[in-house]
Amino acid sequence: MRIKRKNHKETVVTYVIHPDVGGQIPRFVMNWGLGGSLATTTHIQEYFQALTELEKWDADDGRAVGGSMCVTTKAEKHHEKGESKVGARMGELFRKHKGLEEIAEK
Amino acid sequence: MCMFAFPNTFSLTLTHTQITYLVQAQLNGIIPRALLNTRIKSTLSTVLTMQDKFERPPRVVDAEMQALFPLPPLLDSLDDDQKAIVSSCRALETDVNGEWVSLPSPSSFVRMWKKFTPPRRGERSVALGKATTTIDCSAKKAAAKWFSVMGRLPVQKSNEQGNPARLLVTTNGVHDICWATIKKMPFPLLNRELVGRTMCVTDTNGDVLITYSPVDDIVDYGMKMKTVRAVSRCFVRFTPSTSSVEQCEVAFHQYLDAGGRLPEWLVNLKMSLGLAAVDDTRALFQRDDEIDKVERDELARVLKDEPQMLTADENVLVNKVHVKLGVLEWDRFEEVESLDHLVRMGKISVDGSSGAVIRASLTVDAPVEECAAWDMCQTSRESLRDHGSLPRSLTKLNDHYGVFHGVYDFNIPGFRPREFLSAQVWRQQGDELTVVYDNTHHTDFPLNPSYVRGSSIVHTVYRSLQPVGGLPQTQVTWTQQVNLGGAIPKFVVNGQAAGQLMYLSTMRKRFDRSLEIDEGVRAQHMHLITGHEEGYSEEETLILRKGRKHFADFEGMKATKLEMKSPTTRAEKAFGKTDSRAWGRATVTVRASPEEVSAPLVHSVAAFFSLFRRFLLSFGTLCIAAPGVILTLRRLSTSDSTVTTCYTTRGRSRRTTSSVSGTGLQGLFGRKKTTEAISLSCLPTQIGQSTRALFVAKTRAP
Repeated sequence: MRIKRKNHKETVVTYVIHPDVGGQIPRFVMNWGLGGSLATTTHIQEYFQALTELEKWDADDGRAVGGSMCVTTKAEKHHEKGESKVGARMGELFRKHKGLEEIAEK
Repeated sequence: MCMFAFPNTFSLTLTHTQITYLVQAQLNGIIPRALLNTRIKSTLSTVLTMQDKFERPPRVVDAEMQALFPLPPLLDSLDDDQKAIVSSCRALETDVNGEWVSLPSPSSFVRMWKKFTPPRRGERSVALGKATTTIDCSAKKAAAKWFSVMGRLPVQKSNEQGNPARLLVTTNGVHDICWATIKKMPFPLLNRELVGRTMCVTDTNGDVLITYSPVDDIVDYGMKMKTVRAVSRCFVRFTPSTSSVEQCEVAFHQYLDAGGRLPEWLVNLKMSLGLAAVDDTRALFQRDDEIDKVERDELARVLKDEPQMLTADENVLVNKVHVKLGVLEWDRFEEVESLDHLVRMGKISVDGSSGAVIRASLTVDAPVEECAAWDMCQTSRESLRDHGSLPRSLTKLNDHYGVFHGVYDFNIPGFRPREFLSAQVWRQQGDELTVVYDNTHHTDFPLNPSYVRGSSIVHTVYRSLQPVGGLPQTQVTWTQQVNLGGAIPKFVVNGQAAGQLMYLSTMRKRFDRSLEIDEGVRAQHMHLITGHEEGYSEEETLILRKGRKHFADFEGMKATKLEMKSPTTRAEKAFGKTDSRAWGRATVTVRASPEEVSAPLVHSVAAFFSLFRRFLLSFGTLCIAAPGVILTLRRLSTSDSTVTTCYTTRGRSRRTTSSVSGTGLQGLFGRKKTTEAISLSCLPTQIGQSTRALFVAKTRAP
């Protein structure tokens, strides 16, 4: 993993993997699961995005949060009875993101 | 009112809330009149633009309107016609014929009933419905909300439900209106039209009343619609509460005949839907959190400040449960796969007992008293929220002893709801608080043939821990043995252990302060990274070199784009010349400094246990990236940034390897064989503008 400064408030994270899960698992299955392992970087990005307060947001933050809203979450797979999948996803996002939480409070 | 005159063509009439905009365009020239007329609609959008510009949230506007709602007139001041309407609606409440039968309510806070009364002439035999609840606002305010049928929120909700129309027909005064609505009905039913007169009055005893009676008027909706006229008559009484808290009691009586060919039994079956309007009003004004907080704070104060003297019987009860459940060692429990990785779960079958003993242990970011108060307030609004309309009560006999009665419906066809009656006792000893629940009997709760009486014994220990980042921590160990009674097989009950223990996960999340704890620890490790001056050993330098080579290797391969769920992550896949195993590379831009990003990585192993909880799954797989080493996390102890753990090298133990990379952290716990102890340290290194962090494992004697 390479962590490189892009500008005063952004960092580029590059993650290279060459996984071998061992055992009898066929190679094509391992290769198929590559995206899931690489999603680690997405989690890092979302984690820090969620920590950003609303007043520090700019256009890029808006785009990044918009991107987060497009990602399927675990919450919608186990959404509560009477709650829509979209509602579950948005609910989780609003709980996790400081900025979105502030918007909800407003 | 003021007038704006635009040259030749425009005039605008403006009042406080209503805009009338008239336009006649004369552009002259050779533009055909037909073309000009087609553009009229877009010209009128000026009004929409103005509305958009000055629009405020519907809730705010409605609140303002409700605050301005004048006090309703006294019943005696009404004219004869109005009195007759109120009287006919009041008959719904005063009618003594028939007996009220309880209805299952969709809300825990609303009680519902129905009763059959002899129908009036021309009416069908439709049941009368009744709903009661408590609303956390004044009677006048609640009545104002109920009366504002054309408020922003009701109209918005009506539109969202797809109802074709909702409009005010006539106004006979501020408190007397006639309005109409068309309710959308599912196919193949025709939409239902409701036209009625709503009045708001003050009763002689100070209660506020709202009446709704049907009107036979023909309403012009501006278009033809095929509908069926439904008939409804309602009577709502808002009684101000006598308690110090601003509340009112609401009793809603409704007669609703959907008309047409809709069978009477179906109308009666769906009665609770109409009565649920009470819950909408309750939800709008609810102050559940505030009221719960007052109750919990008071209990927490008693737990903390008021020493209790338990009687001999109470001590016996606590000791009995302690001997039965509290003394069981964790080692005897079989691990249960937990849905929350921060809650340790286990179960054990005890000889001679019908049900398994289940246990969960976790750390909560709150003081002992707050945790215990949250658990012990069994009738708080938060607890009742998902409980439905089934009975649930806690009768306090003294400060440390209460009788809890709860009924739970598992919604399994053929199975009756289960009823539990337990004595709740708590005892403080040093920095440890013990709360027990044991089966009991009470004259107020005799056996009910509608329910099956189950048994449940619970032993909870709250132990104060050292604060983390200035935040108090509590170790909670919750043990339960439950017997649902009846014919439910034992294995079914025992199989639900994980689900039952998720109650503790709810407690953890309720007090979760991970963000604040993470922030403190992150700052600590950022300091560690920036102040790091230690050199690297030959072995460590080699690992760093290998890591850099991976980037160079990938550059030399022909990469193809890999579709990721997140559009902000750029990922590629490539194959080496001789290897069919794929290489992957992902790049993201993170809104943080390199030091901030590195800090959790440095501490990621410790994060598996107590710190950086939110990173747990995200960074768990990073350990795999360390060349030649796969970590097996079991029986760990943490001290500063060093973690003592066990490891197996890749290649020697394939089973371990596949498990680790399978599902990340979930696959790591409690399944691996340990071979050798190591100490793990993380070495950050700064090369030019880049910051790299790699994990280095050093072998240490076991």
